[in-house]
Amino acid sequence: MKDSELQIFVDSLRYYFATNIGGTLDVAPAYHTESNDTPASEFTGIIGVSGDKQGCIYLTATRDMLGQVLLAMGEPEIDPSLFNDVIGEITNTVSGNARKVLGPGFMISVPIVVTGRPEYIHFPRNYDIGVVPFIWNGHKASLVVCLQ
Amino acid sequence: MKMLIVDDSTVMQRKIQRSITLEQVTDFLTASNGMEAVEIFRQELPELVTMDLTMPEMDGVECVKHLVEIKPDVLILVISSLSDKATTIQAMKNGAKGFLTKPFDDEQINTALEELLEEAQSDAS
Repeated sequence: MKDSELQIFVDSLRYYFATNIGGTLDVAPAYHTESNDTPASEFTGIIGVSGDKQGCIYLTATRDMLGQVLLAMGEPEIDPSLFNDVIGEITNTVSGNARKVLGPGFMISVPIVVTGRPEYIHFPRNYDIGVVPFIWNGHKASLVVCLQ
Repeated sequence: MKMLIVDDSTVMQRKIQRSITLEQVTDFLTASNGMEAVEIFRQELPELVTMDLTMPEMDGVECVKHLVEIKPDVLILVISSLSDKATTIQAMKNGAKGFLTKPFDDEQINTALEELLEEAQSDAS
C-alpha cells in the first residue's frame, strides 16, 4: 500500500470528524507495519474489503470516546447500546468515502463490530498494514488499513 | 408529509431525523434494511424516503427499485458513504431522485430535500 493510498483514509477520517462530530482531532503520522501487533481497544468496527483489493479496515476506540462521540453527534445522553452502532457507522463511512478515489471496484462489506480488547489481531501474510493513530478530544483511537 | 428513513444504523436514523427542519415533513418512519423498508413502505406509502445503500438483507440500490414499483412518484434521496459515480448512477437509474454523500451536515440534508421537493413541484405544474 502506497502512502498516498493510506492518505485517502486519513483524509476520509478527518472529513468525517469535521463534518459530523466536531471537536479537536489530532492525527499522528501514519505508519506501515508488518507485525500483528496493531492497536486494539474496547470497541472495534471492521469492514471487509473485496473486489480490486482484498483486506479489511478497522477503527478501534474506547467506550469513553464513543460515549462522547454520541453526545457530539446530538444524542441527548450516552446510551451504551449504541456504541457498536456508532463505531460500525464511522468505519463504514470512512471506508465508503474511499471509493471516490479508489473506484467502484473497491467493494466494502457491512460493518462487523468486536467488543472487548483482543490480545492481538492476526493478518494474512503479504498484506500491507497501515496504522493511523489519532486523538479526539483527548481520547486515543486508531484506524487500521490492511490491504493486499 | 410522511418520511421513511432507511439506514441500518440507529445513530444515523436519529441524526437524520434531528437534522430535518422542513415544515412539510410531519411524520417520521424508520427501517433498518431494505426488506423492512419495503414492508413499511407498502403499509404507510410515505411521500419522501432517505435511503442508505450498504445494508444487510437487501441493499439500498435494490430497495429503491422495489419502492418505485410500488409508488412511482415517491421522492427518494440516497444518503450513502459510497461516493463513487457508478453507485450514484445505478441508484438514479433505479428511480432515486437525489444523492447525498455521508458525512453531511444539517444544511446539506435540508437543501438536498428542498431541491427534491421543488423539482417534484415544478414537474407537477
